[in-house]
Amino acid sequence: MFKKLIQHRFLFEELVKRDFKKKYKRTVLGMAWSILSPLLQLAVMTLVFTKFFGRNTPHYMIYIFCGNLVFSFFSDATKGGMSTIMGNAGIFTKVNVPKYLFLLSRNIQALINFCLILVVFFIFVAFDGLPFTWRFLCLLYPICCLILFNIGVGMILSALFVFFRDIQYLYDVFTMLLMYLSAIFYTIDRYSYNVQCAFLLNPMYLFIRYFRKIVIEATVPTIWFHLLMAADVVIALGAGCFMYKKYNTKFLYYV
Amino acid sequence: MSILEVNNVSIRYLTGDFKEIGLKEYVMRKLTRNYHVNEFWADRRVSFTLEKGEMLGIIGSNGAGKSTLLKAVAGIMEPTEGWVTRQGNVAALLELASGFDGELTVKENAYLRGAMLGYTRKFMDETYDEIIAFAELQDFQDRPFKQLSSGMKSRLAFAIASMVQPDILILDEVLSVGDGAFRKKSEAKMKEIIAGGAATILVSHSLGQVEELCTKVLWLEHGEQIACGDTAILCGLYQQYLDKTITLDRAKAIWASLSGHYDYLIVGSGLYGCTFAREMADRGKKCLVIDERPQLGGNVACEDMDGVTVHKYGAHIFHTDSEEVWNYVNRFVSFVPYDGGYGEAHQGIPKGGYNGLVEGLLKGVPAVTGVSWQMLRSAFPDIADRVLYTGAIDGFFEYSEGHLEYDGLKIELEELEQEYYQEGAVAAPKEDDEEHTGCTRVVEYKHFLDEKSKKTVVAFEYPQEWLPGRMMCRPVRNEKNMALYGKYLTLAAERPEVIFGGRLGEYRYYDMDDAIAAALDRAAQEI
Repeated sequence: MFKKLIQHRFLFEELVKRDFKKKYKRTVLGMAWSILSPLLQLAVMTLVFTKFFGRNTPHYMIYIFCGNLVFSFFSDATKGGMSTIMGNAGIFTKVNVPKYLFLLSRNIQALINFCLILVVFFIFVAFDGLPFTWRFLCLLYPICCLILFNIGVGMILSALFVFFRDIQYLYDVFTMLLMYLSAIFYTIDRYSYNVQCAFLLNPMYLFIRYFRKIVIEATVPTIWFHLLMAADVVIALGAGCFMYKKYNTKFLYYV
Repeated sequence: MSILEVNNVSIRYLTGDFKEIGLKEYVMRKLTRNYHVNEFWADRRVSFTLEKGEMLGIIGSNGAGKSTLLKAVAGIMEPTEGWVTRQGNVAALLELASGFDGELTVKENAYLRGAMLGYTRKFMDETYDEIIAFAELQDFQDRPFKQLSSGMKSRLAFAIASMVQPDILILDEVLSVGDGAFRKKSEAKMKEIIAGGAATILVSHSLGQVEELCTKVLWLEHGEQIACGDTAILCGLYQQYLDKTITLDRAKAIWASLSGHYDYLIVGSGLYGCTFAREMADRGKKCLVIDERPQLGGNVACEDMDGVTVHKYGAHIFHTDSEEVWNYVNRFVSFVPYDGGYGEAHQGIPKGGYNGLVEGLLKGVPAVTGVSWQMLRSAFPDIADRVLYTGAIDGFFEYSEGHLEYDGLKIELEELEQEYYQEGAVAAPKEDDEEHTGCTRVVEYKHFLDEKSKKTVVAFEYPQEWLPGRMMCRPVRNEKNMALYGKYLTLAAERPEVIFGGRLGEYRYYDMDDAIAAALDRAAQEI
């Protein structure tokens, strides 16, 4: 795969460029939207929910920001990734190129966005008076996991989307549900132990929780926590690769 | 080893399956028990090989499976069955103008397309100016692509694609891009690439282009491989198929006959050739008859026009004193007596015309029309052990010593909206006829067989100076021509496997009965 990636490096670069250019084409603020839109979202959420949950939660804005940061990366990468096969049909029906290039290029774009917001996030963290410790380096782990997880889910979605167009609507509903289940703006302390454990089944919650632990609580999660995340990544990526492998030659017939 | 080998490739599409029709429709059809998955074979058992420097033309009607096959060759599609092996890199130029991004600028699109085609960034940086200049889009480089006209888009696509230096080049209708001036430029460019030694596959709806450029041809129809081989013969067959003069099955049968091996190849299906074929076939020899004309029978060929049997190449009245020949022809067809003045023992016209006689003579012998000796010689040099050549002997040697001369005759056929034109079949032109001055003989065909029709067909015959290419009647056996014929005979002696026979092959006039008698003799000598 990496050999192929090097072989198609030029195409890959051009695809990334294209995806990037297309995203901000004909907007006045251009790339500034990458930062502005999550900030506005953050502002709205803080405004609305501080009243309900903010009183008992320390560093509530950072708490929300962690959730938003992770979740928007996930939904941006996967929603965008879903249409990569369909959207590039004009290319791969004419030239023999690996189809995952399109998905990877879209994920790179999402990653760049994520990094921009991450910088803003750290600035917010600094303003909020939270200390920067060596533990922040551990954030590399959930970030890497999240990148791989996004690619895996993107693969599954983009493959499914070729066969069932309905998936785009279903997935919208699903992400909304997932967002509410990821404890982005609320805390789960008041639920019973069993319910709290159930939250761990949600990969998004794991990623968000990891960020909060490091940034707000300044503790490194347990080894089991790490392994659980790794397992989620392996499952998603494995399923995605399996689908691409299996349907690689069949996409052509349905685009 | 061939640079490209396509072996028994079949490609199947499924239509109407769950994934295609969507969930709702699937459930609906399941409930109404109306759910079927149809399979559709875009290509079925296609095989060919391609060597360096060769150019394969793929012909066939729309939906023949050409583009699908190209996708399999390019590696974009996996064959459902069979396999493709490629030695070297493939560049496929398919449906050029699509696949661009309307939002990006011309320059961005150019780079993206270059990347798709497998170029390196360095290569694109170096050739970008050349590409834009070739596409004549210097003033549009930073415009959004969607603002370009479709001709401009194709031009850009072609300009980028033509920078390739592949081992295998696949061209799908790309030579018909842009306006006239650009088309010339693009054709020249394409030829340059082909001359560079690539193995090329060309799909084109321009048969002329295929004939001009390709070294061989693959003919597909409904996904089925009809034939693969010689360009001239297959283009000829395909043209006949398009003109609806032959059916697909007939074309396949013809190709199968041409691909066989025979004891005798008989060139020309006149009476001499047909009689010889009959005799040799009856003696257990495998014969193939070819004729470059669109029908069999040489100059005795007939055609039905409004219920009248018309002799296409002038009136032919069979007359003979030979009982042997008369009995021979009566084996195949019966004759309507003709009461004209030849003063011979038997005179008549075959019932239904001469085609019946020709068919009788050729019964069980494969015969192919529209194929010339020249075409066959290059395509299937080993088709037969011996050849009977009844065409013009000077033509066989490509007129290397000069042209033999013949009497000329021009025949003008007229269909008239009247029952009769004259009283007898053959007459001198009417004295008051000023329309047909110079005419020496008038033949009204329906009298020969006493055919009833509301219309009539009349032939006006004019003597005419003979020029190469015109219908050849009587050889002019003067001193000059006989000396020339002598030279050709010397050449013919060096080709012992070829028998020169008949009026044109022997450069002598034969009446029909003489031609048959001579062919019977010749056949007897062969055994």
